[in-house]
Amino acid sequence: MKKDDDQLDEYLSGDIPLEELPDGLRLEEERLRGLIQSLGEDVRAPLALRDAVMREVAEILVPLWRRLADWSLRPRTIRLTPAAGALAVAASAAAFFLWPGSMPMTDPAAIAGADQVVTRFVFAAEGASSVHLTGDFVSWSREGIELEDLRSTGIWITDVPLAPGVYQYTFIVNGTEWRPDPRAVSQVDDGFGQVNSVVIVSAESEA
Amino acid sequence: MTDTSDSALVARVLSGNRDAFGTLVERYQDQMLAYVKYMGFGEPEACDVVQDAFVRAFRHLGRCGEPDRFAGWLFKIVSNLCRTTGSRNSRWRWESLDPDGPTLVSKLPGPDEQMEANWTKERVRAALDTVPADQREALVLMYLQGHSVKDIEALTGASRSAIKMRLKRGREALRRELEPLFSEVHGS
Repeated sequence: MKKDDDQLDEYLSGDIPLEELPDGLRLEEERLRGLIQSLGEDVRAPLALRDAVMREVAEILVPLWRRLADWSLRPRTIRLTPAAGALAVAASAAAFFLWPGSMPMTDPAAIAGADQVVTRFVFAAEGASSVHLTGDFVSWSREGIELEDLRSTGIWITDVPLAPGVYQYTFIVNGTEWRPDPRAVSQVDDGFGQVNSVVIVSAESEA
Repeated sequence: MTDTSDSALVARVLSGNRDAFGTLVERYQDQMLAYVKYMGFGEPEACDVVQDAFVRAFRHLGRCGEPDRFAGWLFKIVSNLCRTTGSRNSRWRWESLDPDGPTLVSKLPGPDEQMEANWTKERVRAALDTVPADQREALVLMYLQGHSVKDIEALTGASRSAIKMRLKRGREALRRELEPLFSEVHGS
């Protein structure tokens, strides 16, 4: 005959139901469950808690979605002056030679809107089938912004118009792997056991 | 008919419907608050933790890999915040939130039964407070939140054997502290 401890072990593992425990152990388990559950019955969040959460959420939502809508919905042309074009070409060339990744490069000369700066994100992922960029500028959407590997070299690139500021971002490789940018200016703990990369978009020319 | 499953709500939030997030808050705020409270936080601080957790969840909702398991993902955020949040001045002031009384709601019918039930609960709360934090977490997750050992393994990152050990030790400690209540059940 099995000892109580072994049967309790099997019950806790989910291998046997409560009903199969010996009477004494089963009553004890039911009593313990009842006592602890009675505490939970009493807890009611104050009505103001939901409102407080939603107020904070509204503050997050408005500027982010406005920024996203500005970027995705409004037709715009990214115009490059010859000097800026040269800078962009130089940035692309540099990105191709950096390995295993490249920090985002902002090109203040390639201003997409009155207050936006085209920022180039580059990530090296040889053999990947897709790379997406996500971050606080797209509300951490899983779809994010798709990078392109135009030359099939494993160097994935996208240009994103961003207003000057500090942003957190990461790359999603093959739709599932969340990978920070190894060459970002800094990395921060995301509070979920991973790190986010940081990009600083400046309105001032870096040149 | 509108799909109000967690995964459908998460999808709606991600497509820009913030009201859907309010439904998720309503759905899980009591459960999360209960967990935080019984992890040793006072009510105002527990509300801070839960509020912060929901706001973090909103910010990072795109990272919820399995939207149909939103509750487990949210719990991880709450649990991490419980570990990292120290004492601080709470944003919450109960007198301005609920002037008519405490947030504890009794479902008990008569004053005598209510007194007895309250006395029992106070004993259980006091007994839980004597249990080490890791054991208390396992007990609260299993008995208060209804998670299996397998769930707790995923939520806390601890090994299955460690969780079972915590549960066994926690049960023993509670049984010792609450011996008279168990004797009543056993009829001894």
